[in-house]
Amino acid sequence: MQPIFENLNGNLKRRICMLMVTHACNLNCTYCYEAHKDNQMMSFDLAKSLIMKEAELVQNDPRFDELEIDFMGGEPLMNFELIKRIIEWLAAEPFPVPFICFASTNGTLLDEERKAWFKKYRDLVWLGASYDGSDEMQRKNRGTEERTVDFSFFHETWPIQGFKLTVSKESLPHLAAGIFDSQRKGYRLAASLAQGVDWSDVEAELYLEQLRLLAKAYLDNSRLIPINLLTRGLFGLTNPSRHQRRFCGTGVHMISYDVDGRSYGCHMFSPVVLGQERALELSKVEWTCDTIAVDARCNECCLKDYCPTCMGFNYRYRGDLSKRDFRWCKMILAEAIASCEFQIKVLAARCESLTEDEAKHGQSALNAYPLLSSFSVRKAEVPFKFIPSRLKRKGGGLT
Amino acid sequence: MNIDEQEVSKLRTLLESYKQQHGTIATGSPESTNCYTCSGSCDNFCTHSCSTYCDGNSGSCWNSR
Repeated sequence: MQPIFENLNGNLKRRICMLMVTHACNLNCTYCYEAHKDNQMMSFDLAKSLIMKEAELVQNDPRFDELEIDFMGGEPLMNFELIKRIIEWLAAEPFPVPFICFASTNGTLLDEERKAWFKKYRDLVWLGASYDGSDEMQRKNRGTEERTVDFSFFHETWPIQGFKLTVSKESLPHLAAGIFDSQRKGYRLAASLAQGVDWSDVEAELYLEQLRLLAKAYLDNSRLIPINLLTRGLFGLTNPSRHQRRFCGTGVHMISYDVDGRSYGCHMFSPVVLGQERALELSKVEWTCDTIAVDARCNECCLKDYCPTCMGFNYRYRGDLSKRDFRWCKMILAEAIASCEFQIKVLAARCESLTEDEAKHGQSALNAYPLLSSFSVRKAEVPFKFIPSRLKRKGGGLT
Repeated sequence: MNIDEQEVSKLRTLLESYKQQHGTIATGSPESTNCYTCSGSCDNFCTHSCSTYCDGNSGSCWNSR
């Protein structure tokens, strides 16, 4: 049987080095947050010196034992020649630390020659394609159609690498169908909500409806791997005294180098996203500060540690590293409700003993169930406060 | 889709059985099961220290050379 919840522990000792190999992109997606794209490219000599600098850091810093090199853009394959040179250099010489390279791509710039090259070096460099599901979803979000991208190439070359699906206003009504279409082809998917979007209550209800359709299908067909939107743990929702945590290793475990070699906490703080002037404003931020991402407005919200906060998007759209986007609170509530329902149902249907991960998820979902039952997506007030007296003791439906 | 009491009760039974076999279930903090570096904010790929949100593909599955 497929695991319902995959190993979530990740690799804590991986240093992530993002190289902005180009600012250029050949598409113009509806949800793109890079407002300052241009035609600048990184040079090989600069890329090589940055990679060696990072390798030295990994060698000497006990926090890290391996290096991940991410080729970023724009569309990174707009500078395919640089990626090719770097990989062939890395393949030709001994490298001082374990490493892996990765690039996320829209997949439209892969011709047969490039595909053959990537196949040859697929153990050193992985590609992950952004993929919005059906033809309709691709067209609405990205202005391309599925058939313009050879997704089977990605699936065959790196079968355990998931496609990245972004849920936008345009694709929301087709979400469940698009995800099923992809999963029936055997594709692995990782989905997330588009940021910077003015989500409405009606769309939050639609999101809940789409997630419930997905949940029902997974319950009916245990061979499909449930989408990540339904499997995140609902840990600690009923413990309002917890402190907000940060959600990423920006500036600590990861660093982004722009085309000119200047470094930023992550690519979200680089000039292609913020513009040169705003990007430089953050040069003195102390990224290691524990409270850097704490939004005081969310302290009483039961979903504060379930709702992902991105300092990059917070700064990009609201000018404050900690200031979350309240326009997507109800989308996150819908996701939590659907996840809670799904996790209880799928685990209750188990005939055999639970694994450790399943037990953690199951216990957390049961703990969260009375609380989430007390919220209606349409009527709930933001932030979603934990009020013990409002908890329903018995489960009617989550609405 | 609604949860009925039978499902809640069935899951409780499974969890009780787990506890009898393994002791307590540690669900206290998100950090206990979600990686500090990758717990879900990034709207990009699962490489940018965000593998949890992106279903663990990168952090747990990739093999460095």
